[in-house]
Amino acid sequence: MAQDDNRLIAECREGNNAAFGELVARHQDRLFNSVLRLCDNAEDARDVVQEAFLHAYQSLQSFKGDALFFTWLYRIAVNTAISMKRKKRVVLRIQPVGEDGGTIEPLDPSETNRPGHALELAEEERRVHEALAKLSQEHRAVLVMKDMDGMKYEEMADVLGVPIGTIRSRLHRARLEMRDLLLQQEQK
Amino acid sequence: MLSSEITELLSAFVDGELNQRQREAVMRLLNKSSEARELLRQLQENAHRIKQLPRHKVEPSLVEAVMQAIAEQKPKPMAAPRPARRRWLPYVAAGLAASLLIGVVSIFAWQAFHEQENHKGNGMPLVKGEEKKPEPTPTPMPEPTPRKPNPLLAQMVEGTFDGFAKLPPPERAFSAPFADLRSEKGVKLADLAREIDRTPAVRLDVTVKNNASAIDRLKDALKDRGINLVIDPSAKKSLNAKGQAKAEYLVYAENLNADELTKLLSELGESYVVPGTNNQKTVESPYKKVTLAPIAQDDKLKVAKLLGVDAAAMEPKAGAKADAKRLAVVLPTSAGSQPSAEVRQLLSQRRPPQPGSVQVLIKIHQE
Repeated sequence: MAQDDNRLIAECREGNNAAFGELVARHQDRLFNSVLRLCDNAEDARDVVQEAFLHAYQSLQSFKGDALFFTWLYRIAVNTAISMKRKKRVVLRIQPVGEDGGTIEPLDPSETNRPGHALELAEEERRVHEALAKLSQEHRAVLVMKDMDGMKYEEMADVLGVPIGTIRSRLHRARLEMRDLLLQQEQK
Repeated sequence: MLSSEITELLSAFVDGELNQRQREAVMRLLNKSSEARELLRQLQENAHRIKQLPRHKVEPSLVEAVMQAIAEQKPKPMAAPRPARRRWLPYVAAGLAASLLIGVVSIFAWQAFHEQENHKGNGMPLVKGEEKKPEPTPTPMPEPTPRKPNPLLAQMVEGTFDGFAKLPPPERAFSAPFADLRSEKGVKLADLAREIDRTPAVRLDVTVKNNASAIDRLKDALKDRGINLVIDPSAKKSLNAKGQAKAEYLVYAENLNADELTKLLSELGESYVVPGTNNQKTVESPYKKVTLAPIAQDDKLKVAKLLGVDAAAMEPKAGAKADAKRLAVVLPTSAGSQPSAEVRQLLSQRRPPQPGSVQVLIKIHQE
């Protein structure tokens, strides 16, 4: 994967834009799913991912290759998501994922075969997404990186540009806050 | 009620980011405390719920939109690679400044001398061997106004003038207390990052409160970065000996990146958590002060000698073995006939310093 990325990056640097298209195709879904949990809705997530790819294209020359391309791209996307959120400064608009015009589909449609399963999944997704949306951007980001993307502290520190100790304490506070929010939901 | 230290430890347990000792401490805690067991269950369950969030596909694909945006925006042409840093520039500037200084001093000195001679004898300096002509009939001359001394010239002559660029020091050195490198305080963190970024091979002179705890802490911090710190048996023996306070320990690591090393140093200045028999406790960092300078060639030769490798092996070289490891070692206290088995094993898995990475030699000594 990394080798293929490096080859595509090299081709792109030589002026082959189609190679960048291939990079987008390879990473868009994974990036979108992470960004989706940092944003309030799929539409914003789409914008962030598109913007991140554009930034990446324009800064490709500065990519040194000492991290994976995806990690580098992820860093751009997280920063874009955080900055977009700051710019918008709107009240959180919690929109169940997938209800914005049916533009996104589950990756594995077979899971939805069982009657009622899709509804249960959607409800569970709504609850977790709603709780995540109430966290600060910093807490939300570390939970998504750790639990969804399975990143190590070191990678997360690299992406967010903070020491490992900060990642650990942010995750600690984020987990406790998330627990309180989910408990409150259950009590309602 | 569980303390914040305990809940943080449980959170890191869920993250799978504890070392062996900490994991054992958590297991002991879980055996004793139902409250801890309940919190851990909740944290694990919530982590699982986030992990299980459905993954979606971007529909329609973003490829076309991104490529169209690239075409429409006429993105900036790929930036040309940044030119190599002009390290010679300060020296050239200093040289020009020095030449200018000499020129200015010469002009002032010549003027001063010329004027003095004018006052002494009609403005014409005497040439050696030339006889002084008889003075003509003196005509009344107005009393000369005493010349006001030029303050700049006076400063230049006294050597107190500092208006020109100073010569750069022969060796750059950055120094800061570790407390100023912490992430929250961080007043010197940016300076440190800049220094490391511009120095591919750095020597860190580090003052610590206790050698043994400092090396323990360093080992854990490196482990968090996937680097195993091997301690040469001679250094280990010295650390356990009574007189360890007086000894100096050399740690050599390579193939770190600049950002990683900055974060490592920042983290070493922070307090940290260690598991105790009944409870864990937060310990103040043993790291006190760091001074950074480029590694001198002599240092490299010394490291090569202590490791028992050829000096050429210390220089960056592209290419790595498939199973290569990053090297971090507390060096032997003296060069023996042969490196220890531990060091030999590490060297066998070593990859040479990669171009663009950072080599670091840390000299640790107690304050």
